[in-house]
Amino acid sequence: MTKERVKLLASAGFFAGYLFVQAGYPALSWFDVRFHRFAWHMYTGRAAPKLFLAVHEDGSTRELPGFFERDAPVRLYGSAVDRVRFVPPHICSRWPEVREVRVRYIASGRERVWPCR
Amino acid sequence: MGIGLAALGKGLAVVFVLFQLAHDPRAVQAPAFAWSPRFDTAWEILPYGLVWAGAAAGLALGWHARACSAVLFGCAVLAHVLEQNLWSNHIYLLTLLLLLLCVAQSDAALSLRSRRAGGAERDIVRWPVLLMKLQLSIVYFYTAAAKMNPAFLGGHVIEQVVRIPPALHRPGVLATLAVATVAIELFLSFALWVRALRPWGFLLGLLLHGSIAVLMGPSLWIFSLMTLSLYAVFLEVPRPARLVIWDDGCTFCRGWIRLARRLDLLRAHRFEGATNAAALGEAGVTSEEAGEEIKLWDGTRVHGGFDAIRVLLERTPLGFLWARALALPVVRPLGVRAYRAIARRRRCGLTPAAPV
Repeated sequence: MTKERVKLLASAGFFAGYLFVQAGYPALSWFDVRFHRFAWHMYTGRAAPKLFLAVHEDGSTRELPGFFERDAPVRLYGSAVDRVRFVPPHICSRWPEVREVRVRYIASGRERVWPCR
Repeated sequence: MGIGLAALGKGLAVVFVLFQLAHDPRAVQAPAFAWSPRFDTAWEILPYGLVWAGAAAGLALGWHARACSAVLFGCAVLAHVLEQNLWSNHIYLLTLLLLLLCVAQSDAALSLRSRRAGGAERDIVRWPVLLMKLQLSIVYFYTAAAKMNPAFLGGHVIEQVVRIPPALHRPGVLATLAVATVAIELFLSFALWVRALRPWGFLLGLLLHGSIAVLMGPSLWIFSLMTLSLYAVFLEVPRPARLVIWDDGCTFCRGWIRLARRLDLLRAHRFEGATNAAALGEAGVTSEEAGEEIKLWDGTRVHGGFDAIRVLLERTPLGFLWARALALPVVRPLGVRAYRAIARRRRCGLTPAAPV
């Protein structure tokens, strides 16, 4: 096989592979929300809105406001962060008086609870 | 150049986020993987930022563009590996474009490299450019498709993220803006491929991304710059170059033609004086007609005066995005009138043979 032919095959492979992934992957998010990242869902309103609540030892509850505001007590710098995975442990470690963190899915009303200890 | 500048802006943003994550106790650490390295100190973050900025500057100037793209691609991949706080569709798009620039010969023209080579034209491989075009259409199509949901079409997202005057915060207005956004994105996903629609696509894209940059804040400037830079790959350079015939007996016209030549960075036009009989014959215009107003022969028809200027600007890197606005119903009649008024009052008196 000549060098030119190898180059041509490599180019064709790259072209087809790139197009297959880029045209195919975002379509997966139509069928499964787990594929929403890197699927060009910017500002589409598809992310399920959630409310994060810190429950203190005395039973009082504190709602955590927008994570992207400058004076937010908990700050995120990227909208693609898996908030349900990373925010509760952060709250627990930052405020020892917090007993648990609740994540409320606004649309469904469903709640997930993260005990801090 | 645009993608290099966008990469520079994104690099600064990445360095800022890494510093914040290292120093702000409020910041949520979100390592992308369990094995992701951590950049906690200035000695770790600064060299990364310097490499990123240096390569971005090189790419913007067209100095070893392929090598700079490869370095930037590595930096962008590392950003994805480091932190979920650095993840976004914007940096992902930048990463993909950098990958394509690693294989494309983006410094073949309008770059330091081409300048050093005397500006000679070079053949380039076509398929990476085709992939860049397809990538842009893919982004528009999928983002428009994802916006077809009640939350977006109802205007709720626009209400939350777009800074529009409070007087416009009415359900009907917000919903109209939402539907218009989706319609424009769908239109752009195919219009840039259709020659007749392309100038309108450029103009609508400029309006869309310009308003995004203005109304959604500085974080979207980089995305707008990156996306609009991609439009340049849709710009067709006519070969053979189109013929522009101007009144070479006019001092006033000479200054404008000098400016037009400077703007014609892609060398899409040949400029010939109205005293050149061969040029007049090629375009099929008389010397009187060419003396009255500038003429542009695009190979199929002759454009004159204000329209010729618009058609010329549509093939220049600085004008192609907005030049079609000069054909809009209110703008064109005003432009034609202004052109005629200026043409009537111009001061002439140059020897035809004087070079421009």
